[in-house]
Amino acid sequence: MIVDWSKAKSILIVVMLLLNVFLFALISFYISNQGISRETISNTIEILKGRGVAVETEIPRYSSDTPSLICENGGYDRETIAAKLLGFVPSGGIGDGDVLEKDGKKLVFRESSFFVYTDTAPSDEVEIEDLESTKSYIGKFLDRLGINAANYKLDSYVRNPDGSCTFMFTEKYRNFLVYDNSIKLTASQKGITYLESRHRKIKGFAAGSMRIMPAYQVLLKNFGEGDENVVITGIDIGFKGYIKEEDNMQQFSQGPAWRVTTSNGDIRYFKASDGEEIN
Amino acid sequence: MCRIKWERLKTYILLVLMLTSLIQIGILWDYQNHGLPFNFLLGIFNSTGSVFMDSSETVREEFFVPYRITASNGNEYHWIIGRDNSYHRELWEEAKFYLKNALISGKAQQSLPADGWGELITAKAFIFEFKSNINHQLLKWFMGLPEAQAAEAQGLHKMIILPGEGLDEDEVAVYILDNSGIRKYVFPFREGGISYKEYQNIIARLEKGKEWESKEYAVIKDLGLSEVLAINPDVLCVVRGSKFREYDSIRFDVPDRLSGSDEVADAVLGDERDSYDSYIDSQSIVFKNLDSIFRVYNDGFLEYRYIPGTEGDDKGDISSAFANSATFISRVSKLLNTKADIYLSRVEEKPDYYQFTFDYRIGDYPIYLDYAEGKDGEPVTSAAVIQANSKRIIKVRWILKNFEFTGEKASYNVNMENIMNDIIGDIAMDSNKPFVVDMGVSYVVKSDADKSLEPVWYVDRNGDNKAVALHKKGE
Repeated sequence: MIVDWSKAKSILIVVMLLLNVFLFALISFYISNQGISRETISNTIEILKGRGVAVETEIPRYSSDTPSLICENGGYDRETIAAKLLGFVPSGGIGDGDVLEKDGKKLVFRESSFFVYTDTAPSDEVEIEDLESTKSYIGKFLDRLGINAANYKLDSYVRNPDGSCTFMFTEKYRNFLVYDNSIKLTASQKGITYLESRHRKIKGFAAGSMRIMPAYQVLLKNFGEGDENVVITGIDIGFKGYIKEEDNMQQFSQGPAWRVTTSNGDIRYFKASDGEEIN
Repeated sequence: MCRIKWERLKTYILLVLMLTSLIQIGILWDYQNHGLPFNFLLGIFNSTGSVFMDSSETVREEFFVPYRITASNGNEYHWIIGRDNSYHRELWEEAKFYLKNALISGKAQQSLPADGWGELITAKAFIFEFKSNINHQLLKWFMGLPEAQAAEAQGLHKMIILPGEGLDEDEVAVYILDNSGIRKYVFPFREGGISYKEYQNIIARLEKGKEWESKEYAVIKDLGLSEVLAINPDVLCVVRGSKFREYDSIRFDVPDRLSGSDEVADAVLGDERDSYDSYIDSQSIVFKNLDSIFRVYNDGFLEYRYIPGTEGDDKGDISSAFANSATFISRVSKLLNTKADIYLSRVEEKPDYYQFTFDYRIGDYPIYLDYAEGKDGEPVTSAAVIQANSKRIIKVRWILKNFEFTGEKASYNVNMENIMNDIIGDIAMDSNKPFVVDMGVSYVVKSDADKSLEPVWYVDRNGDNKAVALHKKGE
């Protein structure tokens, strides 16, 4: 039998082309879904259901290697904030725990990266019924203090019985939430009545990346006995660390962490490296 | 002509398509293992070969080495066999062979009280000393023996090989000293090992070799002083020849690598690095996770604490506890760029954990640390102290320093008679005074102020130690 090599090569080229296209499609599918199949997610939901835990949100499939976040202390210019909020700067500087008061306004810096402001009688005008308008007002208010509101994502808000609205913002850095950089703010029709802000200056990502435990594994690891009737309403990934603020701290890292929110308002954080809960 | 070219092109296209399909299959294969899509390529190009390092084996080799090996000609001459000498490795291999046989074989031929050791070391013999007693469980682990295989609860502090002692030339007597006393074993010479004649030849070479003169000693027992002084009979001393011997000074410093937080994290945290957060303050780098905290100070002081502590934990077996500790020591030692090495100097069993103490040594000379207080406010008397159980390390205190010889040699008076004048008040026979377990030329670090150190005469009294300055020639 004589083999027609020319024809054979042509057929082989077509076969190999098809195989390459198939493999490329398969890889694309894996990249888009981080290698976690739909079955894995639905099985996880079923297992959790068996444990009495309902999942009423999408379980993220994110599992890409992720670096730690490097932060620095000293995120606030205390003098500027005092001048803008109270209209004066005390001589002799502002220390931790110093209470600054003027005309029903009170400002306290508790740590270098944390302050609380209250105003019993604000005198602005806010269209509190209009969410977008209120957000815009808040944005301008924060920008005036030197806090870049555009970097913050509105996490949640509640309408209070007195008609005011309490907002929770979390800083976003390159598609990740930085859970320790947050703003809790209450706005009424007259303006801002309460502001609590925590901010650590973000320096960037660490050089190396770590393997991420996918969200479904974290849920299976941590939700079981004692979590009956829990309803999970939110799962997202960001950065949160074990390290609390300490004196003399110049620079620190925070690893990636999963945040799980439940219907009763509880928020739990888990290290994305090993799924251990952060208390 | 054109057709030939076209056929050649088709061949190339086919080859390229085959190669790309192979690469894509590799990527998908790697995805199944949750790795990066290019890991398999890195695996091919960065292959480290088939060398498989058993960490336990490496740890055994590194830490199961005698503190000192000496040879005695049975006529009041003793030589320290330095670790840089080929005899050191050969003799230790022989000793390990007989030690293994002693552990496996079962009953010793004879048991003797510990105070008989003084007589044994004055015979024609080779002596192997560890700084402290190694209990039988840890010894079995060092020897790679399973628990059931060792017949006797034999520990090891010191060991003597007596070739042909009172026997014919085909047999060797081995004496092993541990906390319970001395046991004697008799074995035929190791096949292919050092024979009776070769042992004699080694002694003969030591007696004749000029290079051995500076390593020649007597022992306290030879001088008849062990009966009147509170001192171990096997303590080495210089009584013959020149009073002066030449020693180098040393210098020490904080390892440069401590300034790189990535390098420190890799060395200190190893595979667990991802589970730790870190911060840097003006004097340290701190790594913290849910239950552990490491702090590495700028001056080289490293401390670790397992936050839940040991309450209610079973301390488990000593071998696993030591393996945990030694693996940690080996890993963190990568931060050092030093001429000194670190050795196991004490093993203690506490109710909830085991405590392993490590010290530095440069050449054959110990380096003692004697800081009034470390960064944690407690005194520092050893290079590293590790508390561990079989599951984990519980606490670490370690002074990370680089040591090296300065090359500035000087002659010091090490004659026993002269030294005795300085220390007699501390070692005279008196039940109130601590017993001297060892003495010799050493280096003592008392503070970071002076980073260059001359040798001293160090009197080891089991914690209540004393350093005496050596007199330089011409002083």
